[in-house]
Amino acid sequence: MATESDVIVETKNLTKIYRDFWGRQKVRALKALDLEIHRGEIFGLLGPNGSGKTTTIKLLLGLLFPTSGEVNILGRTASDVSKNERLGYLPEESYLYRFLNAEETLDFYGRLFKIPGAVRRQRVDQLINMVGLESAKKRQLREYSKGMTRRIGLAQALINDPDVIFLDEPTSGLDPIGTRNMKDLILELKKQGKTIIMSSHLLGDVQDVCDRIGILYQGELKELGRVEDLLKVVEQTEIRVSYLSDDAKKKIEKVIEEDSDAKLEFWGNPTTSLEKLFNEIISESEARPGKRVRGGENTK
Amino acid sequence: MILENPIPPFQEWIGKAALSWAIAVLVLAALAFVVSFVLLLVFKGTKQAGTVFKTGVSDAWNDLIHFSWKRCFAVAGLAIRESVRKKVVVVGVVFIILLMFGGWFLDPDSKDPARLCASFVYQTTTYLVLLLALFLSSLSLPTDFKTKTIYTLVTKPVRSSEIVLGRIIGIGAVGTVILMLMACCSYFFVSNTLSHTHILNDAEDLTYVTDADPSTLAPDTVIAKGYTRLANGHKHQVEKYASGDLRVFEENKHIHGIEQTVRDGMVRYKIGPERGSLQAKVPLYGKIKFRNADSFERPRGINVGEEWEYRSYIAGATDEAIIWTFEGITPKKFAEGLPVEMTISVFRTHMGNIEKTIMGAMYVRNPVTGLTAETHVFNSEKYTTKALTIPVELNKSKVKTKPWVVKKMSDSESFGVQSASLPSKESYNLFEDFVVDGKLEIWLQCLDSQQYFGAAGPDLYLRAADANVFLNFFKGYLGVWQQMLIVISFGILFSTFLSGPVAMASTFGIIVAGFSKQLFIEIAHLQSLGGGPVESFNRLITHQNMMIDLPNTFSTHLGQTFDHIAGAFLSIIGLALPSFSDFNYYADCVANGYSVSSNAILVHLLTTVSFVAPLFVFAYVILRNREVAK
Repeated sequence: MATESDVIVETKNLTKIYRDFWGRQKVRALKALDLEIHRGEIFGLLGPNGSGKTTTIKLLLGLLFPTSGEVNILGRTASDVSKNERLGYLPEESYLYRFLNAEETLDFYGRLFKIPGAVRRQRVDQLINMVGLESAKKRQLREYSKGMTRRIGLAQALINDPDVIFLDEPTSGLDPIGTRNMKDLILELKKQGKTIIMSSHLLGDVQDVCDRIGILYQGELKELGRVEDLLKVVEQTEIRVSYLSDDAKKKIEKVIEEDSDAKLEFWGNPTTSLEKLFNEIISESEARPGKRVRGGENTK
Repeated sequence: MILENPIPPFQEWIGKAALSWAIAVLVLAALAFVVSFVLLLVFKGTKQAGTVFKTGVSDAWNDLIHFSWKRCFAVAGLAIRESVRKKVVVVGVVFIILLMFGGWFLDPDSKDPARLCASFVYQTTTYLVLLLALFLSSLSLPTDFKTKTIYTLVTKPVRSSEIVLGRIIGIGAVGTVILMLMACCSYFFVSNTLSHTHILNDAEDLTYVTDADPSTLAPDTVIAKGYTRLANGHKHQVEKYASGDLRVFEENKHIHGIEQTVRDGMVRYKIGPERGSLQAKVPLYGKIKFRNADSFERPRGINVGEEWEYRSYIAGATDEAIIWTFEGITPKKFAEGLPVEMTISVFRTHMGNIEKTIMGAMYVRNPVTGLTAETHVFNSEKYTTKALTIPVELNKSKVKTKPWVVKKMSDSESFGVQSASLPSKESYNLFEDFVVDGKLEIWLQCLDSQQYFGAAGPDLYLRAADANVFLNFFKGYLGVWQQMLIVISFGILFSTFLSGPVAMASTFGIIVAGFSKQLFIEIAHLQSLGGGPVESFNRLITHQNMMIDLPNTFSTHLGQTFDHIAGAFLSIIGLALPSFSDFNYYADCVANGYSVSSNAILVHLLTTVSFVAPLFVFAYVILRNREVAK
């Protein structure tokens, strides 16, 4: 039996051109993409709207056929249906049958993987609990909010305990808590050894969870690498110290002034991200209901 | 029952039909391979075409060997849930409403109410179920594409073949359940509509024709006549005999039983429920041929000028005869004699006394020796059905020992006759003297000069048995079920590459063309009046009727050339069209009181499969090779 390579997804010169009815070129959505995604990593496809992120995912999944180039996923071509045995896919809008309820939805997709009945029922319950939809599991999806739909969408993507998970805009439509939960879950899945390929235009989300990212712009891969490497500003140095005395500050300023090349750009307290602040406020509010938790300017 | 295109025996039909089908499928498959490769060459270039083609074939092979019934039934279950949750049951409600009010519009004076009711329910069911199949099948997949749920589906390890077959099975199951419910409602409706009784009051409704004491008369002497009271738009003639027995005459193709009770010394009659409205006769058909006045056999008789050439005729008071040859006649099967039922057409060259019926005679003939016996002399009116029984013991005086001769056109030798004259016997037995290896001939002659009898093969048959009426009624719905499966398959096929409304319109087009396939073929073969599509259009805009020749101009020739090309194209399409009108056979059988034969079910079932199977394959190929996303 052939051993599977460390490269889970590989594209060579992958190109997609959309044409009109008469075969005339409408748009070149993806231009000669060469990409390798490795086992166990979280790979993020970044880019503005229309940059080719979703097209890339659709090509990898076989939902679109490439105009030229090759796709190799788990050692198979994109058109080989067998590859889907080990894939999970959460589309951008959780395209699910709205006449089914949550249980029926997961049961149906479980059947497509030929999961035995008892295992399937157990897995359905487990996933429903995981996404927090126990109280709504008998309601048809047409009655679900966008966030709930997103959560059941994620559950269906995990029904087969996949090795590779495609997440198209995973935090789209989720409130900050949902977003946090989703990101935690993505990191948890990584810990379990899953390979995750996600697309997003929400930079913060990508930064929080991805190991490597590829930045697409107008169908071309502009940047590819590890997140920390890409975000590192080599020409700047950041020193983070707690409770620094005024004397020490003056000494540091003096040292900087003595360096003829160095230029002090900012001196002050660092700020946290809005997402982090929001999450803290919500957590504290839940812990102490009815109390004003912060004394910010607008709360006076 | 009129059978213009009799269904051939399965054993005779299957070989030829299977061969034609296999050739058609092979040719289409080869064509599909060639066309797809050429298209790949054009769009992908010589370098990529081979690789893509090879990948396609390899994927198809994988799909075939990894096909899973579990996944297929999961998709079928989804289709069932979808139909149920989208309130498909509305169709059943519409049907029940139609039945509730349908009774108001059915002719209460109909001479054949069973046929009327059965035709009504079968037609209503057919249209509703086909419409249901049309909507469900042509909108199911396009809805998945529109809502993009197909993205989630095809990224699971489900094969296109499983999606297509699952939909066919799921929608088929929904249609089957609805159809069964409709069948139950229909049976209840028909039974309820036909069920009735009549009131008969001895004193008020019967007129005594003699004052004599009945005990002094022969038991079968009629002592009173009259009619029952009106019910369901008709009355029955009644005769009372000296024995006290009553006879209710047949009316509107049914009779009633009579219960006689004596209370307080008074004889009372209670007319029971109707009998015989719904029947399931099992006919044994024979092969028809005609003998002309010179004793030569012919496949057809005289053409009396009727446009409809279903029946042909023999002249009265001549040696001409209509001959039916039956097989499989055994004493075990017909221990009580041969029950013959016939519907003979009468063509009068002069009206004379219009009230007077035309005389005819029926004979049985030994097909080998030519020994013949006259069994009945009867009166015939046009298209009235007669039921006669040929007795097992035949009257010696009616037997003709001089054999009747039938000559073949190919030679002048007498056919099948061993001797010029046969020895006479004291008594003749039908099975011993007339049936040879289960074969028997029944001859019919017209006895009135200058009048004609006409018949087609199914016009005379032996009533071999009576099947279960209830089961036969449900068998009648098999035709609707088979049509439904074909419509579903077409709907699914179109929905794999067309949007919902266009797929629906295309499937509807198939239904319309399928119901009028004969007309379609006539147009394709330019046999219809007024020429082909262009010529007809030309006549329409130039206000020229269909009979006159068009002027001999270049444009006329151009139009006719186009019609010939279009005709060839339409002929090919015509061959691929299902003939839905053939499936009316089932409803006709039940409505006319005949049992639906297993042979017909088998032939139609295979016909259905021969449509469904290639449609499924086409749908799979299209779905497999189209981009699911945009």
